[in-house]
Amino acid sequence: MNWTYILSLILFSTGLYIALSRRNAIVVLMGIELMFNAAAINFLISETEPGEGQTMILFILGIAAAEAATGMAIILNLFERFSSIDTSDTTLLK
Amino acid sequence: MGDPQVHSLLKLIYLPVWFPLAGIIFLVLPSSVVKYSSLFFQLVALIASLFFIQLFYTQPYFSATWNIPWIDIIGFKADFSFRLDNISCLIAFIVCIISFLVGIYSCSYISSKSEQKKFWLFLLLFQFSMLGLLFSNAFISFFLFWELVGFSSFLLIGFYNSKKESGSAAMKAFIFNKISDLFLLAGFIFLIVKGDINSFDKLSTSGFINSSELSSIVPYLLIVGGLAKSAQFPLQGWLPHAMAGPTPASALIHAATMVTAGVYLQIRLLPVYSDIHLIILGMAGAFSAIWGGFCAIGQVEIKKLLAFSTISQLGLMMVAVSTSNETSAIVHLLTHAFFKCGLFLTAGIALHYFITKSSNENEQSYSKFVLPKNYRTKFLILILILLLSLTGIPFTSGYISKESILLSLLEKAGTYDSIWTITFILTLLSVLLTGIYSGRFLYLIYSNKNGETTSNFKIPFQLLLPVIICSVLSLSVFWTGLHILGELDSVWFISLLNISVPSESGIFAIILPIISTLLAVGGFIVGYTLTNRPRFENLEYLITLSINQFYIDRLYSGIYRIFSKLSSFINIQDKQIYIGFIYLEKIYDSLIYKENNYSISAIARKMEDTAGNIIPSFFSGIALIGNAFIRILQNGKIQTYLYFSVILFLLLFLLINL
Amino acid sequence: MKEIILLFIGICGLFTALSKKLIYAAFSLFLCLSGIAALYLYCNAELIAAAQIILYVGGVLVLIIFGIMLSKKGSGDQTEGLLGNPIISILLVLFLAFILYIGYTPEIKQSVTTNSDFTKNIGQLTVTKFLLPFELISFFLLAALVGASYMSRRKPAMPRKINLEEKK
Repeated sequence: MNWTYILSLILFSTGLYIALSRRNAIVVLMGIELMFNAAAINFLISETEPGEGQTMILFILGIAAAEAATGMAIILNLFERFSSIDTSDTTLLK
Repeated sequence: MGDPQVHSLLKLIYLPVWFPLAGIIFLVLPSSVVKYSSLFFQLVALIASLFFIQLFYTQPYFSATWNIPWIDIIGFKADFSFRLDNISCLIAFIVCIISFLVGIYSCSYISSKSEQKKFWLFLLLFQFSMLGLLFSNAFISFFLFWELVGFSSFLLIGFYNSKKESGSAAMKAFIFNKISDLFLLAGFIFLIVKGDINSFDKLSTSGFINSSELSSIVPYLLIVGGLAKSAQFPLQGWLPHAMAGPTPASALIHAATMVTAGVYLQIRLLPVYSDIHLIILGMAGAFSAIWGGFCAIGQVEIKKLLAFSTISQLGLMMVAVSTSNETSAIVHLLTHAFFKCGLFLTAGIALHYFITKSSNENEQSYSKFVLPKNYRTKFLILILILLLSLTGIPFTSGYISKESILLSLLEKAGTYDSIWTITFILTLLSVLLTGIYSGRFLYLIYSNKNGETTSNFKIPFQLLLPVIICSVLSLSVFWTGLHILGELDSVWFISLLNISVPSESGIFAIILPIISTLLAVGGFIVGYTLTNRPRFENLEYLITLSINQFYIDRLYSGIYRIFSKLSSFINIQDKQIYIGFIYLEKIYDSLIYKENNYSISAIARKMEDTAGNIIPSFFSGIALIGNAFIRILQNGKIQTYLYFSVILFLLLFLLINL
Repeated sequence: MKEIILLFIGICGLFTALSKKLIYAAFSLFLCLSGIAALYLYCNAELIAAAQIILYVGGVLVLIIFGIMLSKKGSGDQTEGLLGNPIISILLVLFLAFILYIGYTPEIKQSVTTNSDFTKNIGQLTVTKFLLPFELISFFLLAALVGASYMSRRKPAMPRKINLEEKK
């Protein structure tokens, strides 16, 4: 019963829940960041040779940063277009 | 195959089967001549059957089988084959006689010009198919003619188009017959496929019948297959309604010939049945005899009374078959043909008189019948002979056959177990009931005295002659010759049948006829006297019960109505959806290319607008439901799409790992 | 002690999910990420802990808070509701967690405690085993940089705003 793994699962589920069911786009971004972190924790504890997990975490960190920047750019563009960052208002792609 | 006579197949060209067919071809003649040409062909058929009878006298063991190869491919062989047998020739002879008499009768009965050709077409078609049924040997050809007989009877029942109940009665007859045809077909298929038995003559020589491979269900299938044609319980409901047809048709079909096809089938199939099946057959027959007798007592319409009487007598024939006493069954078949036909024709005369009086051609209200005044006494003798023959009084032909049936039943009851005793008691009860309704018939046909003013009504001789012939032939002198009180042995053509006749001796042979005669006469008197004095209240309830046939009619029509409602409901949905799809195509095109409106709700609305009543709300309901469902899926929010991709991932994960 | 940190991280994550106010969600995310950095410290991953603090807390979280600042409409914190049916979402994620737990449990190596010189290992692995991801991630970061700056350029002509009041 590895609690770290369970935390990783809980964090991942929480992040997924935020991404699925929050109306504010920025909160969705926060949820995605949580999912990244959960995956990072998982990599940390499940490595086959020493140091492998932490290297993966470095890469995850880089990717997460890039993704956050891009996501924020998208959100700000949305805000300029729709005057709202509510996801239920941006439904033109029906 | 047959014997050395097979090479003289040319003789088979004289089979009475083909002459009605030729009569049909000659129906192209003008309507006034048509009846004479058809009568001519019926006469020729009669002479031909006489010819074959004499053939059997000269060569007692004559039998010929005539094979017409039809389908012969690998693994499947089916031919028609006809077989001349003593049984089939004898019954064919009687069929030809009755058809001829009915032909003479209907020359005058069907008097309107417009109906002549139709009636003769149906009548000759029926005669052709009945004779074909009698002569056919292979199961396939037998089934073909069986269906054709049912179809001809359907045509004849629904002959009067303007009457409301003709159509439903015809449909009822057809459907009931079709139900038992299914069982019959299943039984035949079993025999053909499993046992490689293609025809009736292979039945007695095949070892398959006695082997354990014969599935236990086959005899039951075959028993049920013969039930509806002979109007046995539980498929007897069509026969009373079939009286909506013209009287000659009723006389021919539902008294003498078609209903005996079931009995003929059972006679032919006797090698298949073992003891238990014969017991069931006997019980079915005895029960139908009781049923018919009981329901006949309460009827007020004479044709329906005669119909129930037919059911009862056919039950008697089935009982005879079940005691393995084919001879008495055949003789009863023949005698019953004559007296029942005579009774029907008499009823027809009474109705005819009423119709010509009321000058309304298609109104056949069967509760109104009256005999013309100046013929009353003359008819009394004829009707009395016929009725007494029905009940089985000595000196009549009905006595001979009925006694032999009862004697063979008694013999079975004595040696076997209690079920035969029950059957015997039921049959005796049916004799009593027969007497009762015969008395009632006499009273009914003579008590109706209203509205006869003319005393100089002339019944055309064509109507009278068949009745006279039938009633004369119901006397026992014509059957046994000088042995007036004779048993079955003394019937003059009994040597023709080449079947062993069980002869009963001992004390029962004397007591039983006395008992049954007493029962019959007693029933007759009771029926005659009680009909005009219904003073007993509980009897009234019984009579109501019997009129409504224990409400079994209503049960069947209720079941039918449930199914027809279900099928009409399904039909509507089917039509709606089909038409809806056709419209959807057109509307979708117009919407997409002209209005750029892609949503399903718009399509549904547009369909409702253009189609109006054609597409009811059912289909647009589908569209709306679909719309509501799809609206959830396709709302444009990314999170919804994410939601479903998570579900998909879960499913994939489960599928791969678990 | 490690379990307490785990508990702390979990609670902060749940608070992010369930809080009604945007700023509280951002702040609890901050605490969550800091807690994860502490977790890394407990797993003898000092480099990663430092990187987490620098990149996540000082980079991504600041970005998020800037985004919150720039996309506020009106005054005050906006309260927000939940989208769709939260119960189904909760059930779905619980089910997902359950399936992942049943279907995949990693083998936990005990070598974490014995080897404490992870930075050297990271360096070695980066240039031997994970060389390709290393190069690719530099390229990836460049692409993200270019894209983000392109997307947030000053646009010459403002497109027409979709008036949300008309649609309602």
